[in-house]
Amino acid sequence: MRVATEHRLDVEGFGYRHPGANQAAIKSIDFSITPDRPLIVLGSDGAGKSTLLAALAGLVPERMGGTASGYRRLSLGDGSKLELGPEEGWDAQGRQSQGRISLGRPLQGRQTQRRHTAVADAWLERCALLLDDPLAQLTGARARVDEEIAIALECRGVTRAAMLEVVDRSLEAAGIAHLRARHPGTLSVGEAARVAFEAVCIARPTLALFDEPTAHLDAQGREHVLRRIRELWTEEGTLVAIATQGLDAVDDVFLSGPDRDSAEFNPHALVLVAGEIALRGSATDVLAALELGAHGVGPSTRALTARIAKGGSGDAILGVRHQSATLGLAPHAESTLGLAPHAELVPGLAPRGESALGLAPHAESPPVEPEVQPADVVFTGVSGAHPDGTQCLRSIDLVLRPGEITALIGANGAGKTSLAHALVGLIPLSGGKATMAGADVSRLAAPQRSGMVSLAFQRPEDQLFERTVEREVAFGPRCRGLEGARLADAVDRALEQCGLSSVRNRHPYDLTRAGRRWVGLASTLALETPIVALDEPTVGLDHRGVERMKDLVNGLREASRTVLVISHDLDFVGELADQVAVIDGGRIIASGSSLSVLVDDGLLGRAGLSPATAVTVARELGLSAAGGHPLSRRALAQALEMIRS
Amino acid sequence: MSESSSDHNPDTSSIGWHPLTSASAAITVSLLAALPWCCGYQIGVPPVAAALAAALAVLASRSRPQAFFDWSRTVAMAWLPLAISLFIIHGLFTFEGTSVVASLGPFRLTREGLEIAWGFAGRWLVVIAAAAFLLSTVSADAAIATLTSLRVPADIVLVLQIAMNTLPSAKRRAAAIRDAQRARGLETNRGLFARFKSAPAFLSPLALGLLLDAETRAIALELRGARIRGPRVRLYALPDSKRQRILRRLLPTVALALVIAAHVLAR
Repeated sequence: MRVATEHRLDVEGFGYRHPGANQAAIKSIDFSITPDRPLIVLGSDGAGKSTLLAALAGLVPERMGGTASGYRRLSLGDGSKLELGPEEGWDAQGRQSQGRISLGRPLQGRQTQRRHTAVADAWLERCALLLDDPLAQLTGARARVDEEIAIALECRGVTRAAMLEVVDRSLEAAGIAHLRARHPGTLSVGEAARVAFEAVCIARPTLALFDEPTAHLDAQGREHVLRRIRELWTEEGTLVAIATQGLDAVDDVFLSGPDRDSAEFNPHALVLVAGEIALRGSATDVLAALELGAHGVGPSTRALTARIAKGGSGDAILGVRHQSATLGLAPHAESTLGLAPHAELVPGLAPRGESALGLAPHAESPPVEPEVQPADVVFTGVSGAHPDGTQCLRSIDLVLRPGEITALIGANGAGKTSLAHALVGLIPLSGGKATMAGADVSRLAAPQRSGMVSLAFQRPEDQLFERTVEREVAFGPRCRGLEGARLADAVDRALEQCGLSSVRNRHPYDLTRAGRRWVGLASTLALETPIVALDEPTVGLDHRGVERMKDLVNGLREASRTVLVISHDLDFVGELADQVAVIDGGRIIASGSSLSVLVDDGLLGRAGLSPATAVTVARELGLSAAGGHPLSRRALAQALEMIRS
Repeated sequence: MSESSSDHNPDTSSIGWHPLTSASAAITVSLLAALPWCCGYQIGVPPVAAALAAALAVLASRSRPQAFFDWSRTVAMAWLPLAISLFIIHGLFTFEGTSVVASLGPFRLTREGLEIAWGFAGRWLVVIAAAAFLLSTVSADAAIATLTSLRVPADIVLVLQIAMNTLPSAKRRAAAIRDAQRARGLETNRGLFARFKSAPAFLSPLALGLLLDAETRAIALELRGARIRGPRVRLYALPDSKRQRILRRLLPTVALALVIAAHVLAR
């Protein structure tokens, strides 16, 4: 039941420029959010989505500096208003030089600053912002998950009994009660994402802002998070804004619920391109808009299906493979919020064939893969434990073959990353045997295996340290003793594969988070190992980035590499994987062809997963019954077109 | 509100002491280490201080598994360099010393010098042992909760909170960076030279990561309401009792009085 509240957020002519930047990251935009009109912010990587959410939370420019124009006004249910609206902007230290705050009464000097700080603090108190990096969101200030979740309540003086009740309820509802006593620093990225979500929502904010809320989540976590977001605005009257690339999630939370056909229910969406609103309207219309793809946003599965039913071509809708791909590499150093404080160039939509940054367009033909000796991997009864003694792998039997893509899927915390770490030798085996190309590598440590197997980590920031992209990519091969022309060739190839050739002399931290992910991947590819493991390669990538990643992984398969992909993106898995292994509690509970695993609801359910949206939609349309079994959006589109023709 | 035992988080204070009680015990022992030599002993550490320091060590070892090992390592790392330098300085350069224990060229190691060195080193051992007890039994968040309850301004607490959490965060990040670089073929475990050579690949992302972490943690804390003024209630109460409250006021006061009285009498 919807709670009628008078909360309202109005944004008028708001613009923002990062400290030291020549161009604006957000350019004079206007919109409103009301409890019955949540906002969906779409756009390619680097379009300004995270910056906009940070501005709505009152973080930029108030906490992080930069220059702002226009107004943000938060009207509260009790009739009071908070207004942040500099006329002259802030200096680089975040101090307001001159401006109007609250009530519109002009103030001077220290009085202005004090008043403005008070308004900004009050604004911040009423906001919840979920950052797109869950590990960064955890404060590190508490030793247990339940205490971490309770921080917002503690700061508001809620009684202990009430807190315990709310935290208990939150942990149970989120299905993370088993994490209660864990130290937040020991959580996997997916587990941290679920804890972070509960932690930011628990204080019942007036304005809840979510940056890629489902990017790291398994099916169970995704379902809970989407349900909770729905509750926030339908039952608690919270103002909600979501920035996301996951349009299937948007479809599920905003457009497929019971309110879908209600006249009161009117979520709206805007598509940002280089900080400007390129497209806006009701969410249903925007998600169905044909020009969405031109703005770097892929269609949701349901929108795709509807378009094909109307006579559209799936390839034309999904086909970004032959368009220029910007990779969303923003040319500026990001802060940890994913904001770009030194925006000198404008990221966003590039003219056809050339990216805004001069990045290499997605090559018509991918670079030639180096010749490597194919190698298989055989894990027999492999067990392993973390350094603290926690058993993470139990009797794993797994075979990875050259020229095959094996996907490892499982719920958050199931042991996917641990298995990848065991593959590269970062987790010593406590039992069983691992062989690569027939040689026993069970006792080899990671550096000794680096000539055979490489891993693209989930958080590339943990490896980046060189001052240029090129040097970063060259580091691994250099450690292996490569030099001269061979080193240069390996680096050039990896940079080209990842579309980084034209930013080879930039500092890795001048790129967006997605850009850094590509640098991490290029560093892995430059090792030119016969076995390649990719840990959540699509997280944080926009539609074009995902399509490029698919091409790249396909290229590895064609070059007879042995590929292990860890992903909870079942659409990506369904389109690419030859073999799928399901891991749960550190054990492989099933493995087989994609078709046998990805449509087995019972098996997926046991592992805390649910079928990909394409599989669900195909079932709704009766395609599976006809023997089609499309496992991905692309396969679904092809099946629909075939039926239509 | 009454506090039941279930309100207490067993992880944060397994010895059942309030952080201020632990601090009070550490201060008491440190003060007693300053008792003059007139108090029934001739050489080295006041027996009462040594005995209490040993008692604290036993208590610390009960706080969690491996706690005694961690406590001993902390004490050794802090005390040994200090003790060695004291023995060198006083052992070799106490020119009043007449009882020569050993000599090499112009250097004479005298018994009087060694006794003076032990006098200082032993007292420092007690002080360091008490400080290590405090560190091993009071977690960072319990310390922060205590500061909040003492009404230290929220801004100062926020800064301390970020600073105190930097070390555990750095340890976790360092492990992740080491893994990432080793997977790329970087040797970190093959001797001192390999470690030295790998330092930039290790320290650079660590430093950058910690800076960014500190910024984000500050924002994350602010977003949760860390700057909100007014009373705070912790999810789990810090363990406390009337007896602890009395003892933590009484013990340091008595110890201070004893030390002052002993010094006055010693004149």
